[in-house]
Amino acid sequence: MDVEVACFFAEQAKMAGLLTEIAAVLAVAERGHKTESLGYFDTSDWRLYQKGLALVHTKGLLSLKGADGMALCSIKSSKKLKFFCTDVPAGELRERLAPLIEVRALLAQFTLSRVCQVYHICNSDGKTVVRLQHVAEQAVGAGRTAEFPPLLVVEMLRGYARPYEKVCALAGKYGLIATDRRPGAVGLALEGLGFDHEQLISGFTIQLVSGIRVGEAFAAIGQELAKTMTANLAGVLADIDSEFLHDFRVALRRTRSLMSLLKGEMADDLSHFQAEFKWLFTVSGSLRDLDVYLLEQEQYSAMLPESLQSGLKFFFAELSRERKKARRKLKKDLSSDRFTRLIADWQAFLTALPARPADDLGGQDCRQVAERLIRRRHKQILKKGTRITGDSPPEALHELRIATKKFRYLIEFFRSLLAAEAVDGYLGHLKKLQNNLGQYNDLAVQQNMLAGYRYSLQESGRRQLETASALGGLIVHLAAEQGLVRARFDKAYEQFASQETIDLLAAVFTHGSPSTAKRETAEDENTGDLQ
Amino acid sequence: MKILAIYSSKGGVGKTATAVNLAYTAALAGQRVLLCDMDSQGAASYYFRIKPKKKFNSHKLLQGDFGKYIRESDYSGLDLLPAHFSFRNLDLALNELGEKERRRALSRLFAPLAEDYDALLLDCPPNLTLLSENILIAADIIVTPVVPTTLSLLALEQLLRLCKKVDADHRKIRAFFSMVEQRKTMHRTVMEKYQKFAMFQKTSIPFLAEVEKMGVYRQPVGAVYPASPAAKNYLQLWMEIWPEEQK
Repeated sequence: MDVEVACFFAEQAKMAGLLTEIAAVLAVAERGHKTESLGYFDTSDWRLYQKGLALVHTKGLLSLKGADGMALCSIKSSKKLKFFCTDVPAGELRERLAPLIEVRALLAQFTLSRVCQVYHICNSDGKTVVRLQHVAEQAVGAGRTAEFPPLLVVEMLRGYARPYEKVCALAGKYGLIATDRRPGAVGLALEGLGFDHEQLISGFTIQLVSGIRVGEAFAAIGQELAKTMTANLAGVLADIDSEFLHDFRVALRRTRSLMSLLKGEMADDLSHFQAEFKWLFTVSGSLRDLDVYLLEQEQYSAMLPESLQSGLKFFFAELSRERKKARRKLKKDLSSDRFTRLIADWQAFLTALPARPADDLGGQDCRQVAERLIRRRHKQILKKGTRITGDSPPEALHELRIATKKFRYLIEFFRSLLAAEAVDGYLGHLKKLQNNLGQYNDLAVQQNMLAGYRYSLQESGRRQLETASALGGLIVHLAAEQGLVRARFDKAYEQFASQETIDLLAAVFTHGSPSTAKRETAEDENTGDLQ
Repeated sequence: MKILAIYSSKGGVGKTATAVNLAYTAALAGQRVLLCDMDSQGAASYYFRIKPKKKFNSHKLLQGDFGKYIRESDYSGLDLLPAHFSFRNLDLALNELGEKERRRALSRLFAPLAEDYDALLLDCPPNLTLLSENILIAADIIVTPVVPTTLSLLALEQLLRLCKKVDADHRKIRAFFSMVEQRKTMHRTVMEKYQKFAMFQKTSIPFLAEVEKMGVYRQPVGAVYPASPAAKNYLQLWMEIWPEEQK
């Protein structure tokens, strides 16, 4: 049953007069006031808010509320500033949060303080027929405070519509303005505190203008990626959760790909930046790798029998220690002059990229260049892939994986210049092959890391023996899994190389270039030497 | 939704106090409760300070057109369908219905309420009419207060006979000793003799001044004296009666 409620903007100063007006017709009883303090939790990318949910802590209770403000489930909890899904005891709350939150941290984003003055309007029998609340709210967060205009909340009691309507009419007559606002409006709190809750840091999108030149596109993409890196930097330094470094490195990886993919089309010398971004990629790698392994702890534990669990624990304790070291080192590197200069120089470079003449490097029509590069890389992938047999060494698959990754980035960069829907469909197909190659590579890397670690174990104490056994057990398991993944490669590749998928790629180009139709027939005869 | 009829063919045994206080306890425990005052005397309605709307009457009730006459009490989660003076003719109205209909009319009427309520409590008039038969058939649980005297036991026997007549399962009956005065020998004797029967709840409600005064302060006892023995007794009684799986 929904509660019928009407809200009005009502400054404190007006309340006394309004209550006197009401008292002339019905009895008004003051029922005291209540103070509430509600702590709102969400990830830094507002995942719960995006889904219309709110995670609120008040009076020792942590509740997940739906869009209508009703609690979906609650647990007892002490006050916290930050926690993960894994910190929530097993149960309905954890089950609801896990798929939305994943590995991100839930942070205390802001607090809503509320003071309610409660009044009951009674009839001649002393029965409450309308409930009034004068609500003053304030949101505090991100070092700011936002005060909200006080509201008068008029609540109807079922079966007592007439007195409710009467009170609402009196409020209107007294000059109060009705509003759709309700107490506890999270969106308004976020706005008031200046949170950018519209941001979605997932995937990469950029709208390039039709007719854009290569150099301009390069600058636009580079700047968008630099924005993402900067946006995640604070989170990395504060070590809020592992996703910040992950997102930072993804943007970094794309930036490096941007340079390697387009350097042949640009007139400018990118070598300095290529070297510096490579440095950045290397120094940020150790911490990321350790994060990934630490996230695997439960899965690894599930792979081993009871007898090897203690060895695994030693291993992860060691990894945790290493992680602390890696984090300190990265913090230093990201606070260094070298890093600060790189970001500043890169930004300056992109902003000052000169416009090139239409026929020169950097000045060509981006759409045409994109098509040429995509088709070329596509051919290269087909060439590499077809050569792979059951006997091919792991390096061949590794190379193919790198090629498909760059290929994907290329298409994503220029999606806005191509047939967007076809692009999405095509990338869906490409993803299947990429997943297979990615899994294979992950398993290889994991085995290498574990084997290397095992090899480096010095001394032969009990602890080392147990650890070595556990790692041995993991390596066996991972090797078996890798075998299965390898066996699935042929099918995955076949699908990618099928006529159906190739036709899909062609469909991608049916947008933008007016000479596309002509070009397609020309391509058939051309061996592609123009490239 | 579970339907609980608070019923006794004998008046003055604490039926309405039970209905009001159990309804309040249930709402406090988080159930969505509707208390239907079926007794034209309207005592339960009086305790809640709720009068029926002018247009309400027994005719509207039997037509199923009573949703808009339900009124919210002062207590969260507790609504009341107030009694109306015309309810004294409910028997006659039910008698007008066909043979198959006349005993099942209330069951049908109450079914749609399951959407909004977890517990439907019926405060019943103290008699043995067609209305009573309807109530016994519609109810999932029949809560019957028994003052530990010989006459009260006679009334209990009448209830059992009525259940048999309308083919209502006597295991629905949850009897409990009401208005108990330990200093009275008869009370002690009767309780000793009959407490062991499965039908009787372990909890009994003593005669308490606070309960008697409900008509003065016009609130459930738990609202005025939340920590009192009276409030605790009713909570205990509710815990015994309310089905295990619903808790």
